[in-house]
Amino acid sequence: MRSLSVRNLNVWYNGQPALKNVSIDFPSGQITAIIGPSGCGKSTLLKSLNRLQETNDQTKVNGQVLLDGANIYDARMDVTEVRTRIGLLAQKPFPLPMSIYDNVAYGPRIHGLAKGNLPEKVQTHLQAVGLWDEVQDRLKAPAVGLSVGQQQRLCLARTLAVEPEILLCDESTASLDPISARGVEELLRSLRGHYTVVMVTHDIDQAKRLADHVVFMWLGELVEHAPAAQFFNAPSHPLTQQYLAREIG
Amino acid sequence: MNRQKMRKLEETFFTWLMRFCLIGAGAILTIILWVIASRGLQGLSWEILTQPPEGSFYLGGGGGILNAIMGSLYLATGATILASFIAAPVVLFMHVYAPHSKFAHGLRLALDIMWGIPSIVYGAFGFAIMVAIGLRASLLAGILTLTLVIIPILARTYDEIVAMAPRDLRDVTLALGSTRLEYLGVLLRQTLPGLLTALLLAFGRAIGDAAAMLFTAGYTDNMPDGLLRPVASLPVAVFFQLSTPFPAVQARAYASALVLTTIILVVSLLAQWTMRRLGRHVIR
Amino acid sequence: MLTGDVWHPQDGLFGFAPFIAGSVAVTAVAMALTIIPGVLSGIYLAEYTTNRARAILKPMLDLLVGIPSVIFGVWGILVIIPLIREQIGPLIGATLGQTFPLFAFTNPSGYSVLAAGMVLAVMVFPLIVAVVDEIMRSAPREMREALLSLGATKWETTKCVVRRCGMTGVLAAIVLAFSRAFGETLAVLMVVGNVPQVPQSIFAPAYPLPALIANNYGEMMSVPMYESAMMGAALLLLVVVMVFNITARAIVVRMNKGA
Repeated sequence: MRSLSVRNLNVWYNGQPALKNVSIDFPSGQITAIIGPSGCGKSTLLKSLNRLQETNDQTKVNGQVLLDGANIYDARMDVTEVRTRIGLLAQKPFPLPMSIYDNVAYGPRIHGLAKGNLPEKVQTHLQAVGLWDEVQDRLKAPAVGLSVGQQQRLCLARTLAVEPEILLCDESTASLDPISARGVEELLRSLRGHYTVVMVTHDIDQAKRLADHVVFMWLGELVEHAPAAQFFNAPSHPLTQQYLAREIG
Repeated sequence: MNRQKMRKLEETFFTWLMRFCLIGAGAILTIILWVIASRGLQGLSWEILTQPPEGSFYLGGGGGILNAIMGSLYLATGATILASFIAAPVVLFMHVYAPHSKFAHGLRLALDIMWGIPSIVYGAFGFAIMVAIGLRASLLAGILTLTLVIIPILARTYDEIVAMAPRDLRDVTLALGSTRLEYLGVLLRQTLPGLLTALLLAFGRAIGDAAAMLFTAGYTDNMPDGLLRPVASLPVAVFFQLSTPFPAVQARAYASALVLTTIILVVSLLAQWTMRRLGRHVIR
Repeated sequence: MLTGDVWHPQDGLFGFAPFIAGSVAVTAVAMALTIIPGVLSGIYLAEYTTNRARAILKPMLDLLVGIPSVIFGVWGILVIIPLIREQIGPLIGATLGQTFPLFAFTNPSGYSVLAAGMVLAVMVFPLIVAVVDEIMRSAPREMREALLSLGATKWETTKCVVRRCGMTGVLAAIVLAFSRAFGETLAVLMVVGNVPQVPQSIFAPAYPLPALIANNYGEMMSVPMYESAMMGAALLLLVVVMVFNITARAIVVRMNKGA
């Protein structure tokens, strides 16, 4: 289990500051939820953690994100390796336009993991997300044929198949129906202890159900960061109190 | 780790291969412009720009290509004006009354296919029709043929620009109680800079087209002197002068090519400039 | 008429075969030269450039599109013909030409299928780039992010996007470029040599259909049947180009429905 911390991270988007001097330590093996109103920079923060934000060329990043003490923004750092070690589960499930099997196998293939036992590996990961029984007889079928909930679980299997150390989730249940959302939530809960999970959500109740730690952001700034129980029972910052009371946001 | 290196290498290799292709294209563009400019300047003179050919012009005698310059301007201007009077109303009408109909879809398809037809085919069929109705190679026939060539260019370019107009414009205008015809007027005003861009692009295409002009506009050493008389044009002038074996005439062909290229570049850059202004000043 | 290979208008022989062969040969050479660079450049433009670089490259390509055919012809005569005559011809003729008749340097003038193909290649290049660029940019951003998040390199991401979404678009670009090259007249006419024969080598002269029409239309009146032969040639050109165009549109429409 690797440690992930953010030090004085500033991000500008189109010349406008999107993140202002954010510093956080994400506790290893636990789930940290980032909450806040839309536009507060929570997605920007998340995508800065695996250097996906910079694929948009209007973005400027300044500061450090430390993975095991090494800055991922260091010039000597290999971006693809960073993204391999820090996986991302996107907001909307996006199965790659290939078969179910190939979706999971794509990552291990390009990284040269699992030479020879690829089918077993795919099976393991599909089982881990509870999809194996549903799809084992149509592994060669196009992945877009799955239901949205199944697609998101497939995306999780695909992400885990490259054996990341840290998992980022960007409102990963927001576009699912309630039942599928609950399923994915259960899966995330089961990852606690195995992965360091950082999730973004706009759903306070979901954060209550899942998170060990909660980060509250407001207009690009980190307002409060506390263990979940303390955060929800005794928030210290007035903005957090108002947000939790649903008076703002 | 070895695999990592291979992937890195592949990435670098293809990135540079792609860059190399684009750089090559840029180099070729530069060479074309450079060759035309350097060879053209050698043959260029004030006389060439300001006089029509004299009797022995194609044997190396005196005179210039003013007939072709003026002929080209008449042809391209006439065709652009005519085409805009056909294309702009059709496009606006389509967007106001039937934006997503089968008619609009079919029209776009037809225009796209018309765009793809080579101009030599327009020239050949234009000539066949001229013969049938007893029209000789003339400025009028040239303008009519060119109009057909550029209508699809003008219409499709303008169509895409009108399509960029905000949907709210329609809702707001109609919500204020305007008739559709009044909305058409609003839409025209909103897209006027775009229409200008489309006109410039069409003009550039028209002035550079030679294949359609060969039989329909004909060629003459006289200045353009009437709608029903043959008229010279720059691309055809370049072509004819290059076909002679005399170096002096060929040098003038290069000069003519330079004049043509300069006109095209100016029109192209103007079109790009209006397009950029369009992006800045018109609400989207 | 379509398959006859003798062209003697005075004797009433109007065989189109040499001209069809000329058109196909010239277009094929152009495609062989331009497809790979065009597609790669289109991909680069869509995937690898920053907005600022794009703002410079795109207008440059538009300039290239705007240059008239006759100017490309002049460039061909001034640059390509001497290049073939003095460098490419002797070099390839002495190496590949010894074993493959296709590359035999049989025609020292330089006015050849290869010259026309090279000029055409440059002319249709920006067309391919523009279509590929547009297709690649319409590929969903989520797909790119998903692939990058798995630790794929940019090139691996691009490969996957092309293979899964862009293939039909690339095909459409090629078909469109083919039809444009097939109908191109003046630039080809100026450098291809205009000898009515089925070309046996890339260095041999040829006589494509558009050049035939352009050279002979004016004088056709005196010879019987000449006019209908020319109209036939124009019709043939029209049909071929329209078939290709409609095919390309159909590809694009089907792709848009699929996506």
